[in-house]
Amino acid sequence: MTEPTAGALFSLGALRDDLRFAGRMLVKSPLFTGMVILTLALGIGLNTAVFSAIEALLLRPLPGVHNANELVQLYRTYPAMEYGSNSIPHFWDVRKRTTDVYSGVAAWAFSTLSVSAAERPVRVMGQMVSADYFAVLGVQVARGRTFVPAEDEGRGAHPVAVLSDGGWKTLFGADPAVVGRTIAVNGQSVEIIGVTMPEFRGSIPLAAPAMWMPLMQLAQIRPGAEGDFERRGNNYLNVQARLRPGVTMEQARARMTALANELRAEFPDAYEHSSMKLVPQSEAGIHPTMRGAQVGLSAVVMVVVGLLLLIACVNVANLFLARGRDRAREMAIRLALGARRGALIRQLLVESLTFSVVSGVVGLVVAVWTIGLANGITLPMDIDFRPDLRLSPLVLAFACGVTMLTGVLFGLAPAVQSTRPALIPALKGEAPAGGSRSRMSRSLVVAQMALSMVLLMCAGLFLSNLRNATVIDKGFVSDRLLLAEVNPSMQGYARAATEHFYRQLTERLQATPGVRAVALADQVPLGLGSSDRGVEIPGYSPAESEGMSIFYASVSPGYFGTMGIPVLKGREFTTQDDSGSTRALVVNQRFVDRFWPGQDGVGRTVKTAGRDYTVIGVVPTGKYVRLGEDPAAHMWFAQSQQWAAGMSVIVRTVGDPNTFIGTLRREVSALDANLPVSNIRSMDRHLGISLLPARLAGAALGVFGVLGLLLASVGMYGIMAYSVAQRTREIGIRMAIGAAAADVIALVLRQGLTLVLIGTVIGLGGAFAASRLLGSMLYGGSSLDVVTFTLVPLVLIAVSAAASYGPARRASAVDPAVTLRSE
Amino acid sequence: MAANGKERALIHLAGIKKVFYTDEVETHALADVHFEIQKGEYVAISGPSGCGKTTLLSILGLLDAPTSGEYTLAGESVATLRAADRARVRNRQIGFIFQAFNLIGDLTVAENVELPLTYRDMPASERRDRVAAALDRVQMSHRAKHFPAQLSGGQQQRVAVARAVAGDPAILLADEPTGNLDSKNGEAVMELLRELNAHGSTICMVTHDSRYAQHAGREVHLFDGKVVEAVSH
Repeated sequence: MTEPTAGALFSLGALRDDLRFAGRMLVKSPLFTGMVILTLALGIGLNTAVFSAIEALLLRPLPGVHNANELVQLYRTYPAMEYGSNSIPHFWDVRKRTTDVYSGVAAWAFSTLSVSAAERPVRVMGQMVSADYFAVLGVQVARGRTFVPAEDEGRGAHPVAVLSDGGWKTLFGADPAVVGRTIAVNGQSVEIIGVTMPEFRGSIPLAAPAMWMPLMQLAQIRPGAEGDFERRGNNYLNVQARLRPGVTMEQARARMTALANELRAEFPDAYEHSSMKLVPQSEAGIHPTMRGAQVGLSAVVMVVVGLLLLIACVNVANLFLARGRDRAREMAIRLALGARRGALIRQLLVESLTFSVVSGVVGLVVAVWTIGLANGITLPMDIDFRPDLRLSPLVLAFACGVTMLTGVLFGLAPAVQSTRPALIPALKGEAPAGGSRSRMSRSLVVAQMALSMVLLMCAGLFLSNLRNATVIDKGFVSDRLLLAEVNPSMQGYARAATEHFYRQLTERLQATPGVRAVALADQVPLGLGSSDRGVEIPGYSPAESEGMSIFYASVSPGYFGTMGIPVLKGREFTTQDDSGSTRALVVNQRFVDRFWPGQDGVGRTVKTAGRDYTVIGVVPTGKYVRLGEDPAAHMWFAQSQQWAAGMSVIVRTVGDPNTFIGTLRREVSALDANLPVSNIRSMDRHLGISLLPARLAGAALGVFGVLGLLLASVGMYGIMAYSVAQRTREIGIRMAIGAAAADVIALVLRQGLTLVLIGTVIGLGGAFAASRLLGSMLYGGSSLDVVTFTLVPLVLIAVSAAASYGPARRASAVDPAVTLRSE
Repeated sequence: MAANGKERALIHLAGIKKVFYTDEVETHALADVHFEIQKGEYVAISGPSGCGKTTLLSILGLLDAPTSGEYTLAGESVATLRAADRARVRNRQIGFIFQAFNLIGDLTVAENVELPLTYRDMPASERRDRVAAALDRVQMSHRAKHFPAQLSGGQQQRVAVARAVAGDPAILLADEPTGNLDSKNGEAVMELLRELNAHGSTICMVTHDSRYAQHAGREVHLFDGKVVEAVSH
């Protein structure tokens, strides 16, 4: 007598037999199969879709770029800024002096471009790049050519542009003869020399530029930027470099440290507190400062959608467990015929894996649909924002892994249980006592409730967070405001003409019925963009590592009144604050508290860019870059004293601001029919940029929460219905000896609610721990939100009670005479 | 005699006891059973309802373990084997025929007969040959591709017999094999068992029907968990 070998246990023949049998089980009861596949497909599909977002945001190498793992991003660092931008002279020095560690160094900066390709100019997001940009990234062209080294020499001498595939299609209707065509960009004649391959979408994820122009054309595209070629302190360039073969990150870092020392020796003022930092391209993402939030939020959504899958698995495990009871006889026969438990567990796992594979295929359909929805998300900005989620090989591999894991997760417990039948009663066709199996079913329901509790709590916290975000004090009145962007300098206007244009536009709009106030600002709060500059405060000695760079904006007279920002002390800008008068500055309360604590800021002097400014007014501290930011010092210059040509027009209306969009276009067109007006949106829509992470998280977690609740209630219904069916005789006896229908309903509800309460208590513990972890991602740190912590358990208990009520009613309808006679 | 019998007999039971414990009640299903079956023998175990017939057959078939006592099967002590070893012995040495047939409804006739062989390390070609031979013996070859639900009760029991003999076991254990059949089909199954015995199979059958017990070469009467009489026919 020889023992079957392990090889026999996993032989191809045995697996083939198991697969054939599993196929039969799949088609045997369509309702059971349908429920299992739908439940699992939902879990697998949503997990795949969420992972595809993580892949696009965090894991995918830059598409269309050669060997992206050799690329690094270079930043300048300051005491209060870890990842600062670079100036043009700094970039040139880095490129010239690091040829030992980098095979190439390139620079780029986003720039708004007014492109006249058809009748009216169109505003698009482009990039000014060093001529070696495409060579360093290893980008291929679909048509024409990219820039050549000669185009890095001679300022203003290279009016050429390369189009992205998106720009070629949207601006030029995919014109095959586009190369060689001359167009106007910001009023300058520019020749199109090439179109990049479709897969290349720029140097950072999500935001694709429409066009690239040589950095040498900077002054032609941005009038007033002529000095940037010399100014070492004007930092706005992103710098990317490719490591030479064999050079390690450590070697490159050491070289950058040495270079910082060299530059500090040569330019002590510019580099006194500054050094350099490099980050692998794969870790830099959109910007390293956003990486933590991206990873954190991604992890939360992934964990939550993982919880949803776990709930689905528990649900299906319970279904399989119930079916296992029905199949106890089959298992007993197989065991009586000498099957080893291992062989039966293998057979049942092959069955569950067959179910999960079919569910995985359907799950991919769910994923494709969800990815389609996500790819349809747009931002209220000029940037061509495309999530570009895809079923890439990595995402498909993830889906396969999740599918297999799912098969084992929901299959293992029922397989282990089902292969332990009470042999003799099962062979005689008697109903099993089912003690341990019922215990496992009940444990699974408790687990499901606990998981649902954690999931719902996370969803509740993020929904509550979204509500907090919308009502958070932004420091201005956001309703009934219309915003639009214009930049007369793009059409070749000089400063005087630009000032005249803005004055006329403001007057015309203010004269329009329904318009309450009009103002201009070069930075509208909470648009993700920001400008900052170093300040010196006479009499104030900054600490060793204290950053003295302060966010600022240039605004027109009447800005604070139009925005609904009260002036606490002093006054706001008027038309008197022009280029000939004393330089005026408005600061916020945080600025005053930081530099002149306990004192009145009005009349104080602030030095910046070598000039003295006098504080004329103090306003309350608001939110400027992100809704979740800590209170930050902020200052405002008068536009005429801190010149900015490109401004946002801000219109405070009496009624719905969207009804004034036509008026705004008409008034600009009346002044200059060729001047593009872009990004017209209400302030509420503009705030969508800041609210986007909270909205996306709230919407995704809200949907997952509702689905989790649905699955949990279906699971609860299933287990209670099964339990009632099993206890029909017992219920019959109870009724025969005098129990009323209400007693039976109470009996069943009590059984169900006991499980729910145990699950809820365990889940509350988990939810409490989860909320502590989520705290840093929530506005106002509302992780212990009383409403959520009260409402969610009540909803869970109410839904579970409703799910138990159906089976309870059915139990109360048992006819004791019939039940007892049939036994 | 015990030592000699243990060496000679196919099955040797000595001092077998089986006690069921439920709540605070002890039920003595078998009490000090001594019993042997020789190779090639056809033994019927009979007795009134509740006398311990099925419990004894379950112990013989290694579906259950005795509370105490000694059980030797083909010279191997099997009373205290681990679950995996009992499964191996069941698969190699024992063929079951149940009252309720216990065919698996989702497997075809041929697959049902093949089932015990799939739990052995046996090449597929040999399994196919054995299935064909077993179905031949019970004259069910023409129904090989059918499912159990498509067969009559008598036919299902013949398939169950084919499944029991396919693995060429040392002994066939039949638990009321005619209990779910009408008299005509019952007779046919009994005739089949007699033929198998005539061709050398060792059979132990539990029945409460004295007519069918007559088919066996020896009849053992159980009463209150004890062997009270053994009659040779």
